[in-house]
Amino acid sequence: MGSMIGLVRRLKGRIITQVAALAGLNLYFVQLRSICIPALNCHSCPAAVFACPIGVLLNFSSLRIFPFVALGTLGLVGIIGGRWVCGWLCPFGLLQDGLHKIPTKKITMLPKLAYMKYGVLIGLVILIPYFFPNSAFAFCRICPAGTLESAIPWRIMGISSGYTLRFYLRITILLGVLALVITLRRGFCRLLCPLGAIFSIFNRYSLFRIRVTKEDCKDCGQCAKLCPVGLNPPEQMHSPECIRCLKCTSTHHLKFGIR
Amino acid sequence: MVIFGVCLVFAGFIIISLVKVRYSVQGEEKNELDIMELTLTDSIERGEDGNLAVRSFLPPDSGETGKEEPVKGKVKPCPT
Repeated sequence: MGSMIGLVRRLKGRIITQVAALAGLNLYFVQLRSICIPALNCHSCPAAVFACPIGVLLNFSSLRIFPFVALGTLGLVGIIGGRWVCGWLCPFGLLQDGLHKIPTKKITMLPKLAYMKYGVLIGLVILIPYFFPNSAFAFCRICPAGTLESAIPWRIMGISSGYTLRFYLRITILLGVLALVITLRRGFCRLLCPLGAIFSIFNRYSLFRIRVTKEDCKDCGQCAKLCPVGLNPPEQMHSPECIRCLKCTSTHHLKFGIR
Repeated sequence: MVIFGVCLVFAGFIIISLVKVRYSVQGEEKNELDIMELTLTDSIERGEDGNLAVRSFLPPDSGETGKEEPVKGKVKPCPT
């Protein structure tokens, strides 16, 4: 009973944090877009306060400039908590959590498909913008978060260039991703997100991490059932896929703390 | 200890950028944050000479071809 109450409290706390992040990153009246905040929140959104780190990396790659500030920010955040941003701050993660609650047939994912997001990071965020600065296939031009937060609002406000082929391509990709996340929990984070790919590198080395205490672990499998990304936490607690949502710690067999 | 060192490296990136890194954009010194802000509105590009240049955005009825000298400070919202 106590653990159930703890779980409810913790889940509520995470949702509150995610909603607060969504509101705080999109205040509309405040613009500090020379500051890069490590969450996938499109800076072309009319309401966005801060710059999206993936957008900054992409733009700097197309200008062939080394992104000191963006990499420094991402590195600092990553080395402290790994992918905790994915679980606690990212507005697109919140949307995915919500959509996955729609009752439909759910699917599981082949673990090797998780490498796709590294391909997206290297290919669509770094190499394509570097060699083809005006390419229509750079990540931001097809980013589902960007479509939702900027392409559609700008279109509704009548400011962007109309219902072009590119607009329809973006909408198709967005719908595809939304269908994916309804059937596969955190599907975008696990398969495609380049920001998740960057933070996942730090999961193994981060300062704060999940630990299992051998004497507490009873191999009951409770924590694996709770894991939103399909991990078995006692064996895979440093997995690049762990989004540090801390649901597994509600079993009290795993703990979160400084390494 | 290693983590502390890695943190210092990343913090160093930010400090170096703020203190030392400057880019010349049409003869004007700009720091990385200025460049970041310009990129957000697609207002900066690499010119044909390889140098950074502010893009010109001319009104459609201006009669200009847009191929003359870039106009500073005229930016448009990101087309996305």
